[in-house]
Amino acid sequence: MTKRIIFIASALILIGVSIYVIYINSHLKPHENLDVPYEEVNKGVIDIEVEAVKSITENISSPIEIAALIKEMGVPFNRDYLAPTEYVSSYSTNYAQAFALGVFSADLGYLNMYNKTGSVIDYLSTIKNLADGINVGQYFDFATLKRLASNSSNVDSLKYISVHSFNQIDQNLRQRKRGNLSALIIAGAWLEGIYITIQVSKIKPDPKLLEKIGEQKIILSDLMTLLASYAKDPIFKNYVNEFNNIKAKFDEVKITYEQGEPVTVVENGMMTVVQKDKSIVHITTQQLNEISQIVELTRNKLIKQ
Amino acid sequence: MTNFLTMMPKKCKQNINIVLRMFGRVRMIKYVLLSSVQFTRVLFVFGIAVAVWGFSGQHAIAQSGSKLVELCNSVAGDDATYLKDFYVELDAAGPEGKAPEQRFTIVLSKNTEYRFTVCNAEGSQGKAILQLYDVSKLYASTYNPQTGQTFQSFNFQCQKTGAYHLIVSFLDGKKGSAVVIASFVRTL
Repeated sequence: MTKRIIFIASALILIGVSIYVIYINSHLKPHENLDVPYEEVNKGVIDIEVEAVKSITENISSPIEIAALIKEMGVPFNRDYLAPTEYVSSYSTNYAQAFALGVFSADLGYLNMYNKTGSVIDYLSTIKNLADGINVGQYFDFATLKRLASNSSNVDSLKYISVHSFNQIDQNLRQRKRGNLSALIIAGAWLEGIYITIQVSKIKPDPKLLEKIGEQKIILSDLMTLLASYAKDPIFKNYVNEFNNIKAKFDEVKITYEQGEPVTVVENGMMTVVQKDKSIVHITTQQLNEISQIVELTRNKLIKQ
Repeated sequence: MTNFLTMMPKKCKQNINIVLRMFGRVRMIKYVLLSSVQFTRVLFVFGIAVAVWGFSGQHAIAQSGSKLVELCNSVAGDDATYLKDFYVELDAAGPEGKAPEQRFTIVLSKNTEYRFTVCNAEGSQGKAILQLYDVSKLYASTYNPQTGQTFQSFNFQCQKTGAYHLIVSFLDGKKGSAVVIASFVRTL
């Protein structure tokens, strides 16, 4: 009798799994991916709408723009700006891993922009370990990236696959309702990006760099909206508090706007739209110093946690 | 040895016999009369096969999305650095005639030139139209309704840091799928 029950149960489970797989396969859209359920990290986290998060976070703090600006100013590459990888093995939570993943994604952008393919491998390996730690390692094509990094002529492909991998990780986390980790990756990338900008501004206080730092007030405001939505989680709240300290310093920065009508030019079949609206950042030396201090303090503290 | 039929309810066995008689396929009884162990094995193999088929199929679909992104990124040009992609899939316009659209929000930085490129997916019925807005102002569109002229890409020289909206729809409200690539061109 027991054997029969086991047999029937096994048969039903197998049929059930088969039907489920067929159903999932026929209902997935092209950009959806399967992933291991990850309930643990969502404990105590409010379930905010995917679309609402998306509307806030698309392309927040891309490390590419900042790295390009720094490079165009003729500032030489400095490895000291990059986050140390030595603390990675001691991260005890998925939050710490996700945050560090963001930090190292910004560092990778900086390395790639300067074509430092030789130094990239160490960072790629660290990123892969962190991505595995939060179960998204399958989106980070380490083997291909490592191969591309071994030849400096592949830097364009390296840039593309690096950024695309991070986009896929971000997309997957949000689709699987692990947006809290996605938010921390974004926060880490943003903090590292502004940290590097501040370090460069110390040796080259170019107005463009100072403006870049000041305008982060706008981006941080969006980022805080995103982070605050997960603040019910006590561990996550620590990150929110840290970023709130930074925001308090940015609140002092003033941004004004000028209106203007855009101009459209078509040249060689390419349309270019020149925006005539303008945002103008007003930042004092004292504000800049206070922002620099709090950013350095927070960044150095969070990468060790 | 316990066979499969002995475990079935009587009515179920009768139905199977009726079906088998109807089709005259008496030899099938041999398959039906598998032992429970054999049947479990068959089910197990079937389950594994379905799982392999299912997951490999999904992987292929995901790959095709990535291929389109890769292709569209090459269309964007060598002078553009990939930042983000947005996949769009929309149904045809309803009876009221308004073309469905999909909106994405993207943060753009001052003193930066961006390129936005739109590529239709293979087999897409409609041709995608991409528009760039801030809160209310339309800055650029890949389609000019006055002239009928279309562009696959446009550059945007941003002078105001903030959130912008990308709105994608399909010409004449047709059903379609496409990908939009946002790229960095240069610092101004």
